[in-house]
Amino acid sequence: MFVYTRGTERPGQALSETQMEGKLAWQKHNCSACHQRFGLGGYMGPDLTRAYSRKGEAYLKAVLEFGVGNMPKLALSDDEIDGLVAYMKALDACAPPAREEVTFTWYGVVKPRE
Amino acid sequence: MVRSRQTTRVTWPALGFVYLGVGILIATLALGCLAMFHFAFASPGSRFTFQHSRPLHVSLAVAWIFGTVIGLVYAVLPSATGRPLFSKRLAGFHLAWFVFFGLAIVVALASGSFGGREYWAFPPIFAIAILVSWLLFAINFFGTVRRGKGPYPVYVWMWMTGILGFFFTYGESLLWMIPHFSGNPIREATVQWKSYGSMVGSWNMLIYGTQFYIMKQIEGEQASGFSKKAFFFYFLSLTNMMFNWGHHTYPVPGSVWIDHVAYVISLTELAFFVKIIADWSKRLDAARKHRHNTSYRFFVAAEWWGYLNLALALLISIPAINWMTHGTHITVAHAMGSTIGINTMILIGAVSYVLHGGAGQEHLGWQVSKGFWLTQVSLLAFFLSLVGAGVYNAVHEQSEVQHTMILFQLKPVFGAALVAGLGIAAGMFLVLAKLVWTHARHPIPQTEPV
Ligand code: HEC
Ligand code: HEM
Repeated sequence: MFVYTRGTERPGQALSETQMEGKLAWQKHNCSACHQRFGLGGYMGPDLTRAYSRKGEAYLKAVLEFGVGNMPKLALSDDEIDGLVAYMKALDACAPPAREEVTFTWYGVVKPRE
Repeated sequence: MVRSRQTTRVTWPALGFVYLGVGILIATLALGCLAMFHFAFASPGSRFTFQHSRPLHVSLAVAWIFGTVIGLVYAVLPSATGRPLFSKRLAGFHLAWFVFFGLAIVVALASGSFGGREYWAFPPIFAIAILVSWLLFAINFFGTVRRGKGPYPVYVWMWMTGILGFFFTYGESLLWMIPHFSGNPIREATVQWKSYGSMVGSWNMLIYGTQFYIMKQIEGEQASGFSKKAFFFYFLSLTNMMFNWGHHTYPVPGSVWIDHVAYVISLTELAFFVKIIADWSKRLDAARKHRHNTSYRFFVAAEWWGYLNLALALLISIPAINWMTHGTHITVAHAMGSTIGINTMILIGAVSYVLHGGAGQEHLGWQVSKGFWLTQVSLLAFFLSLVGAGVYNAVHEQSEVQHTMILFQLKPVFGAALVAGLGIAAGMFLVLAKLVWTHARHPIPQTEPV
């Protein structure tokens, strides 16, 4: 068991209180039915692990408040929205590298771009 | 080898679980079609959406697999060990418990009361009910096995490992409630992936054990329960259960070497598994194939889906491809391809054996035959449309296209998947209706040769 949690220690990774609230809101509204974190979850919406840096805070807030396309307008309180955005920021901080940051070798291994 | 004439009666709680499992499968299929409908023709704003239908469908799918395999083990355990069930009354209580809390979970999910975990999306309080349910199962199982005398054939080992493995992996999947894990996103995700991966290993143990036992019964070859090959497979699966999570953790940053070990073990296991069925079907004579036609067909179908899943798994385990496709419908194709193509095929075959195999009357006519082929053809179409949607998504997700646009463009593909899903549901329904209806009308062959 501790074999596989080794390598998960990174500095500054523990969730703050606001981020923890966001996480609880995530669970209460079952975002996982449609979204993944680190690839785990439902597949209707995009993986949100990197959403914070890809889309920016203002966009995330707007999406949560009003919904967009197939993303429903969920009845979220302002606190929940702030928490969720903070939580996505935390996810982003420990996300795997983005497409621009990696290259694929011909034999199929992913490497960080020089 | 001579078969003794002695027979044991399948106990009513075992039959109850099997009947219940069939009911759950039908509900799973209906909810799956509804989820696919929500997916293809989403109407954000309505009260019952994909947010509800997906967790319901997935929870029911897991309940179909676990509930049915529990019933099957209860059914064959007495003849597999030569001992009566430890406590029929306890098994009956287990059944009542399962029904009661199963319904409660369905109500919670349908009404939008979520615990919000992936796959087990119900409120965490139900975890206690699930643990109690397994405890009841474990008491009865070990109570029965303890009375028999060793050495135990391979399937008894597999069941034993599956039950213990469940406690272990389920416990792990609950660790997120402890702050040490929930406060650290990477650690949490790793543990979660890991526990689900191993949990699949534990249900596979229960399913494969049941299947090996039934294959042995059909073949009438007692020694095969002790063959070297079968035990080798057992140890392979055991290793897989302990390590297979590795191949699920690519998207999580963490230690890497274990991924590659896990990958080799998982694929070896699957390859070995299809080989065992292939050998068995080669050895089986025409008369037995005829008498046990339904089990035979569904087991061989699992072999073929095993090949296809092996091919897909090989592809998506290449890190670069995994990097692109994870989180698309290719993953869904992998998940449903194996839960339907392998697990469900074996379980339907095993249900047929328990309901009709004792009397050797599994040749059930055109309805099963038609249903079988409709299921297989539809599943292939289903699988291919999911893979197609996944490839399209993987290519476009990286561009700046709005996600809803991709979904919109893929509508025809999801529409096709829906039609194929309806085909699977109709095909399975034909088979199940015949199996249950015939059994309910002629409940005599409730016995099982020892
Ligand atoms: C019914 C399914 C569903 C549920 C439930 C859901 N979402 Fe979404 N979400 C979507 C879809 C579909 C999109 C893509 C919309 C688009 O960009 O066209 C989306 C987009 C988003 C985006 C924008 C991401 C991006 O990269 O553009 C964010 C942020 C988001 N959702 C957060 C959440 C959060 C937080 C929750 C839980 C409170 C949640 N969603 C619940 C379906 C859902
Ligand atoms: C025996 C039958 C079935 C079983 C055991 C089963 C199992 C599963 C499992 C395990 C998942 C989770 C997949 C994942 O998260 O990777 C899933 C998801 C899903 N299934 Fe099924 N399934 C069955 C039949 C069907 C059918 C007939 C349909 C309808 C056409 C269907 C539609 C779906 C949908 C739409 C999802 C959600 C995928 C997503 O998040 O995008 N299923 N199923």
